[in-house]
Amino acid sequence: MKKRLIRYIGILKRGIIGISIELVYPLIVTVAAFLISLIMFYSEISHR
Amino acid sequence: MIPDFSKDDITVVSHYIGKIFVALGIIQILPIVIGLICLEIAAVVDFFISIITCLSFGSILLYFSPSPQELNWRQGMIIVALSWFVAMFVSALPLYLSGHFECFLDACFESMSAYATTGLILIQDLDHLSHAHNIWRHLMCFIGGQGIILVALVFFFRGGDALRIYIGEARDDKILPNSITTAKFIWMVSFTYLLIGSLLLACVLMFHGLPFPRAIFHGLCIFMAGWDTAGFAPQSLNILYYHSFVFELVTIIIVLLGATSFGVHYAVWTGKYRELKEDFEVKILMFTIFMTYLVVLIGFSGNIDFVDPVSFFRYTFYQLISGHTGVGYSNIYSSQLSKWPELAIIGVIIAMGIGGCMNSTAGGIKVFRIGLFYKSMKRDIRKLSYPESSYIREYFHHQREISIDDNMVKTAMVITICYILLYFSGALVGTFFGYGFLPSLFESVSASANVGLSIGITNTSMPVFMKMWYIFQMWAGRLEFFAIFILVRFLVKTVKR
Amino acid sequence: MKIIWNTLLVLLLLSAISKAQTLKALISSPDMFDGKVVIVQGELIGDIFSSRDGFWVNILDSGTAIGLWVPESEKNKIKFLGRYGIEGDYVKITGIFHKQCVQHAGDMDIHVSCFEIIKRGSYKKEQLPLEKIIFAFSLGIVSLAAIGILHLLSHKGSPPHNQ
Repeated sequence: MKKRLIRYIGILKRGIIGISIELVYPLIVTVAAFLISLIMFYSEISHR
Repeated sequence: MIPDFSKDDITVVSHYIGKIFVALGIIQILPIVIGLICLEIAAVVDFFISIITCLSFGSILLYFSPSPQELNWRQGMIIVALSWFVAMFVSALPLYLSGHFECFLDACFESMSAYATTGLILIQDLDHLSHAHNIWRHLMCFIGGQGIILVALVFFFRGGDALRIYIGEARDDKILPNSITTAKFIWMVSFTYLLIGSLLLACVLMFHGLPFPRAIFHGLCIFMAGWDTAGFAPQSLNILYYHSFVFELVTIIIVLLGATSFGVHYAVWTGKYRELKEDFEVKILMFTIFMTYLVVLIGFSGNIDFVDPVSFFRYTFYQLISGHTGVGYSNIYSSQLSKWPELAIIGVIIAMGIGGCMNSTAGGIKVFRIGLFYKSMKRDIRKLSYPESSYIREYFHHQREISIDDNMVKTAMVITICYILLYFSGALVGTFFGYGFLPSLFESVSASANVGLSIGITNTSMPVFMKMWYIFQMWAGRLEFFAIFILVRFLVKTVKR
Repeated sequence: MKIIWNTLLVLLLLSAISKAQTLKALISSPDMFDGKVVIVQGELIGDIFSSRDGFWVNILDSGTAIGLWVPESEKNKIKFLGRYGIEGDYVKITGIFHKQCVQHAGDMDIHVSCFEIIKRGSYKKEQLPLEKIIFAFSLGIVSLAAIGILHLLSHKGSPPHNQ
């Protein structure tokens, strides 16, 4: 059990940057989508 | 000649179904523990009855069908298809005993919806449901998202058998050479994110003044249903309950990660960060998200009924991403969604139909297959524009460079057509019962692609046949058809005898 | 200043639809009630979420729920929030319904101005039918006996069991 836990922590240590990158990539998608919606919203409003 | 089904098949199948029964019985100890902690004695009794039933059936099956030889593909597929069905019935038992369902069928609908990670619900008075039952609902999502067999895999199956079963559950992306290690890796990723995600959600809720136990309960439930793209929530208002934009943003992160293939998680976790940028499936996912979102936005053009750009983004993107990843969380009422412009609804339907990545917890056709069509079309067009004798190859990057072959495209095509037929079958059933075509299509795609967004059709008063059809759609959609085709053939042959 | 506010409130109340609305009606036709003063009744459920100058709490009325945005001063009035084993406070509230609230990033909500407890909530005793306990108990005994017999039989070797 202890050995397993140490191995697991080892993988996590290596993957910590990976996890952070993975957490950031959905944010990039969200921000990009927000920008698109912003453009859409204001172009619509200005046409009214 | 191909050997037909024999008595051995029945023995093998019932042996493994017996194991599944036992595994489901063991898992239900967790809600019992929660029930004891929260002093919910009635709930504990419900789960006690259910556990005893599971263990008895399991023991009887195991006794009468002794340990078999190694599994073959066909048996693996039948076991998968049947075990999902069996799991639906036994898991519905404690739900039904809770008294929050009008009939047993509704409870079965709920448990299949959880296992298939759909998220359509028929539960009554969810806001007064016990913690034990609520945790069970979400735990089912978590188990179903990983794969019921995958859960049993770690305890019960041998290497060779495991692979055959693993593939039956629509998880054919071998991340690691051995399916047991793959299963373990998938669990490791899921549990790590369970920790991070639940804590993150709980932190947001604690910031809003919730005490730690309540915050962690909500965080855990929302994570389990979000990561496995099921879309259940512990309260009837779903995500609307929390009134927090930040909370919604965190769920977007979780569901997007849930819809990303475990292959990509593996690569990124082992230091190949570029994989996130290079993997063809992730690229296609991004592309389809933006394209379908554009359809939704265009749908609203000339008809923007939102007070400010933030709320415009908040509601349109949330439904879109929820549909695309197959989670089905919603921050608006279904009556509001039904008033959306038709084009916007079509945009969400397309997104739901496409779904997430292969070998993730998402449902639908999967972006991998969409990408494959694109690549194969590109190859065919190139072929036509070069001399006949030339040999054109097309590659895509999915953990490694893979060359497209016709067989691959054919299999993808068959499954895609099956999905489209399933989508339309539900729409026809809905239309037959007097619902509009577009709402029927929406609800049908939502059920088959295991999304869970509702436009208002799914409720306890809908026709019994529709409930049964949706259960079938959820089941077939989750297992990607082949296991079910083989099960049907097996049943027909057995009856003929 | 206080007098002006009170007069305004009275005027608003006068313009209100005096009969209590069902939440279902509000949600199914939000355009009709948007920006108007509404009166709704229901059970307070779940949790309280703090926000700037106020808090969120959800109200449930015959299967439909909606978020209420309530001024901080009313917080002490709430004693019971509905969940398993708890019947939440049954309240009658008066407030402005927003189809899309500008203040709260487009939430459909009711900004509460008057908050009245009609019936105080309570702890409910768990419903545990005697038949269920007897059934569970007998099922347990029968199953244990059956499993025991099967276990014994399998050790005797008929039919073969390699587990």
